Amino acid sequence: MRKAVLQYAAGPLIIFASVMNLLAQGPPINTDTPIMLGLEGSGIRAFAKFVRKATLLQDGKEIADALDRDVTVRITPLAVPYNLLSDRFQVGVVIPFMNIDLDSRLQDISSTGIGDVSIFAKYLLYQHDRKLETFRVGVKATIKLPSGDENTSPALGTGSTDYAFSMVAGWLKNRVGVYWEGIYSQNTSHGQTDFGNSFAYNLAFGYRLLPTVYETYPSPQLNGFLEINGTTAGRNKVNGEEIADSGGTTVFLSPGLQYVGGRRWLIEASFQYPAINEPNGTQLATDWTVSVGTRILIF
Amino acid sequence: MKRIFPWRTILASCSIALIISTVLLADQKRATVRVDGLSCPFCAFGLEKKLKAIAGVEKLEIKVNDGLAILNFADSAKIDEKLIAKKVKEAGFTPGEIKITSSKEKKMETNGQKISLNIKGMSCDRCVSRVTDALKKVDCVREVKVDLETGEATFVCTDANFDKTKFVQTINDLGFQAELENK
Repeated sequence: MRKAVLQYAAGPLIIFASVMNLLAQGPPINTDTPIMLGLEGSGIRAFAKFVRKATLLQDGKEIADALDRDVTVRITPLAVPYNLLSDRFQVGVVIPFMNIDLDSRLQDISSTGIGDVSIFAKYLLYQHDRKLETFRVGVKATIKLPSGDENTSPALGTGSTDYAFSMVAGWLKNRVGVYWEGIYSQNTSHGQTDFGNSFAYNLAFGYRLLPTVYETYPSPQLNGFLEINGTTAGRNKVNGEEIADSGGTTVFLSPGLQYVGGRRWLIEASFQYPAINEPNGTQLATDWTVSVGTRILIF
Repeated sequence: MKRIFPWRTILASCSIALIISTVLLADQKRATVRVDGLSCPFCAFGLEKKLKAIAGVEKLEIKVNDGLAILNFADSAKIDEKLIAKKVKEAGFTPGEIKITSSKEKKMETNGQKISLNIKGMSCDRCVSRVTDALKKVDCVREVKVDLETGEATFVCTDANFDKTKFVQTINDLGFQAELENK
């Protein structure tokens, strides 16, 4: 019974984690930003994100997987934010196109389609500007809708409507940028499964590598990022009983590069390596993720 | 013989004089606005869009490193400082001081030759001050800017006959290594 539940829950949770990560995309690559201007404002963002899970961990230690499971998630989310009325308020939608392959000794299964769509609203709460310096704080609310098919295997959605509230802050001065984000996700249930709530925390350090002195706008620009992206999730419950092999903590160390080529586009890439990988009980853990993406300003 | 008063000639002369005086007196204006918070250059798209939309703006330059937006207006345009400040705010930034200059002042500012020196050996703000002060002591020198990060000093020399190697010597005498930049 427990294994069946796990198999049912594994797919949607992977997807959910991926989508929540995407919602955190901003000019730091995996962390959100309170700045909603220019390429951080009304534009299309598209990413190709690859998540690889093939290591079985038991209480944080690697063990042999009798089923030799290997999960690859390819997710291409399309995010369309739009600044409403002013550059202090933004609404948007994120539509993830998913492909999940689950290979094991028992069977090889695959699902492709649209995952759980999210809608969000972000508001700039505080802004303090000085010459070549800004500090801003924003709040964000996200609703994840059960649009992904939860009946396929692996499932493309969780089947639940979940709510996330986040606070995001950013400080930029000359060539340096520091961003912080905390996201609390109030997850609901589907069928007999209550999904555990989670808290995600992101910290990003950005540095403009080139040009050393930015004279006149627009000029090409190369930025380097080092991010820490962590998530701690509570255990799921089935019929009120906690599932030991669910939830846990993962903290990624994420270096990335971003090239701003002009007024209306940038390309970026990030690699995420789990510095802390402590899923509860026995679970397949994320080995790494790679994101390659672009943002195009259309409005 | 009937003497004809030369109305046509006078009218034509007046018209030409009017045109010439208009051209000579044409006073193209420039507004320089300090834009606070301009620390992410890729955020400047909206600022450019909003400022360019102001009536009469012919050219716009956003100097990110100086935190300035420079708007060049058409001759006949009326500059509304409040509108400029409003547009900066709408673009998501904080407007600072707005300075209006005419083309005559602009000409005065840019009279002379712009000179750049590459200086090696500067390591702190104190070095920047020493270099700046030394250059300012030279009679023909105006508008000195010294950048510690790039090691570049730029200034305007109003005397075309001044021996530029003296600038190099002045800086070298301070213990740095300077050379004229070929621009």
